[in-house]
Amino acid sequence: MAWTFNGTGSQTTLPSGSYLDIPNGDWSFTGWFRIPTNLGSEYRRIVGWGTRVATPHVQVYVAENGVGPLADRNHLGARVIDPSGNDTGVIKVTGLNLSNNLNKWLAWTLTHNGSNDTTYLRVFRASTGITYSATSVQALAGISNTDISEPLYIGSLNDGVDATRFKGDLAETSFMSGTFLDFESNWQGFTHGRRGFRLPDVAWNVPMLGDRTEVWGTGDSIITPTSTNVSTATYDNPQLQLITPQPKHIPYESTDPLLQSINNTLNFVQVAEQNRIIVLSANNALNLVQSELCACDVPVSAGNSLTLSDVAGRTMEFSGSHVLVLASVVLHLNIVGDRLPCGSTLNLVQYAQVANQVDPQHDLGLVQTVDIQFPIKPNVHQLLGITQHTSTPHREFVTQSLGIYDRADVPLPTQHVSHTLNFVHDAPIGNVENTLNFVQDVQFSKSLTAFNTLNLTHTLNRVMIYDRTLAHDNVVGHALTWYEDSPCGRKQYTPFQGENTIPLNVGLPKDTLGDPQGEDSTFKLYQPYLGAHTNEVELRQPELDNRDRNAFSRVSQETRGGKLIVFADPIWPKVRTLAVTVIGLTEAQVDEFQAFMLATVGQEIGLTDWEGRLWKGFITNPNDQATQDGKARWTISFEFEGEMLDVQQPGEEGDGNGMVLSLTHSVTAVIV
Amino acid sequence: MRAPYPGLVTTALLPSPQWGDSKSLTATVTSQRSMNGTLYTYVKDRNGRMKFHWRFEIARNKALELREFINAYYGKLIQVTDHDGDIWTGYFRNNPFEFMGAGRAGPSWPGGETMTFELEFEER
Repeated sequence: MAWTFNGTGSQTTLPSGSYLDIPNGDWSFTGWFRIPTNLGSEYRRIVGWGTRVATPHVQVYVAENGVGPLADRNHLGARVIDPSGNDTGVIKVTGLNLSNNLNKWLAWTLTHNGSNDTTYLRVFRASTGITYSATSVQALAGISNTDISEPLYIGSLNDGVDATRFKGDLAETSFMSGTFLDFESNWQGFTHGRRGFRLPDVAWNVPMLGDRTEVWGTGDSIITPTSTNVSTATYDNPQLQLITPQPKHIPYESTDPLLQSINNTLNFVQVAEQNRIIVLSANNALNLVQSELCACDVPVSAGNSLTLSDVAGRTMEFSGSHVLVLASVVLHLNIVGDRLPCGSTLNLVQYAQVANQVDPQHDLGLVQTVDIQFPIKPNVHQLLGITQHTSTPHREFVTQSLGIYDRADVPLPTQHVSHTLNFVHDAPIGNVENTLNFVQDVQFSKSLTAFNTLNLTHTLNRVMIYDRTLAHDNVVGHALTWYEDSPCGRKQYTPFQGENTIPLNVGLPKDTLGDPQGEDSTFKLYQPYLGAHTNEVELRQPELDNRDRNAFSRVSQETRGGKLIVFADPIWPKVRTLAVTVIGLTEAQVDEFQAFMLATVGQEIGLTDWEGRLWKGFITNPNDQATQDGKARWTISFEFEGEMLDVQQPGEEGDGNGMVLSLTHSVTAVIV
Repeated sequence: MRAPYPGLVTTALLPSPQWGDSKSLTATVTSQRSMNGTLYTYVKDRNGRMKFHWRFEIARNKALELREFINAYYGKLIQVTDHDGDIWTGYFRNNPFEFMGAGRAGPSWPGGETMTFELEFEER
């Protein structure tokens, strides 16, 4: 994509700021432009800062066909004036006639060399790979280290006159604190779109390669220009897509701040101290929920702290219950360098203050604190105790119990004691095993009888029936072929097809001959092989004695008995080479063809052969010699390695838009 | 030519090869002579396997068919019935397979051109 300026009120305005300042020493403006017509009589500005008579000001413009004297027409020009009014003069690139380059992408740069105070203007024509340049009429030292206090306009001057607005397409307009002249490779990299190339020392850059409107300014700042009557244009310059500014940090675009931590503290306190008040119900409901939804950052930790405390004194009847659920659910938690476990730590502490003859009992699992101040039988239900430890110097009634334990040390006889022990396995597993040991170890006891009673009941309920089926493909198949011997059958494309039900058999030859996709009257090489051609050369049709080589990868072995075994996997590489010789060329055609090979050496190109078949591949011997056979008669041979495009390819309709690929990634991380 | 062997599915019909066709044994012999003059020969008879060399002049469209046939079965067993009526089973041994544009042809040759193609075939 590029940006189209329609020439009527169209401009892009970069707001004033220190990022626009021209630095001391070397600096460069640069970008790409393309004009559809050149019939006007104005100077149309690509970049303008300040009015045409302001001091200082910088402008780069396209001089149209009817502007001024003949010497001023059809070229790219520039002019720079420093704060003191000193002038570089009009810098004109007269070597490149713009009227002959309509609808062609041209790269430009206005670069200032601080060592000799000279300003240069360069234009690069992508279709031929040639750079044209011009030099300032006089040296200009004062333009360096200049404070730009006004906005900068792309596609216009600030006078707002439509006649001087740029009309055409622009892309990759940038400003750098450096010069392309000192770094020739940078200019080559920018204009040839070398893969991985980055603009050096970018102060600001308007990519114009899509709908993005932000500008990458100095440092990590993002500047948003305003545009009027500017639209996105069709992208058809492959070199533009490879150029990007130096990588800079792009801050998170959301307006919400990046959350680093979340802490909630909430205390519910209920205190009832009046002696006559019986608190019938005291309930605290507290839900703590932490949810982090983020597409790119994962919180390092998330924790909930919840303390529930019930204290009741002088109660006639008391029932306190705590329900505490700690759950950690981690979905798609990815932490670079380590994977942290998630878990909950639960500490249950039971404290019994003994005032009378009370047997303390400790269970693990629930915290229940009961202070008995009056002889009222409390109802205590302990679920499962694990370990109890009592440290006392006196002889006490000490019980260690595991499992279910009920004890009531009250004057009244115990009315009912029931134990229930359930082992429940609720999981789709095939092996269920319960082990229960009863151990009695009596060392000092008057007991005469110690017995254990254990009733184990196993109940197995079949809750699901799995139907498993096993299927075998039929490994026996049939194959049938036939043919009809006729004179035509020996010359036509008639692959005699048969029937086949054998599993994993090889693919049959195509039963129809593919139709040619291109013209069969020309022999053409071009780039890219899909979409609009940016580089193209057409030759005479090659001579007979052309070769179509098909190389396959196979392995062959001999057994001890001398039997030959050959194997080839269809996915192994296949190489197809086309070797042709073209005679009767003029020297200009040979030069054009060799320039094409030089521009595309090692790159993938397209080829339309004399039968109208489309190929993509590359030329393997660009160094093969062209021989002069006579006056204005040249012969050249080359080999083309590639593959034939048998079907209509996406994007071949002409605009290349069929190659658009859209990828969307969505990541959700939730910690509750 | 029919392939893949033994479950034959496709048949490609070709004219008889041009003169100059050949067939040869694949057997090899290596001789070594000891210091006392005794001659030792080491033989690989390869079970009498044969190797064939045929050269065809075919129409352009038939060359396209032959290329599709090779592209499908270049690593498979092929059954060939030669111009003498003998039936052989083996593999193509060319690499690369090269089709050469030989000359223009009349309208009875589909494609308007004649092409030459050399086939190396070795018995399994």
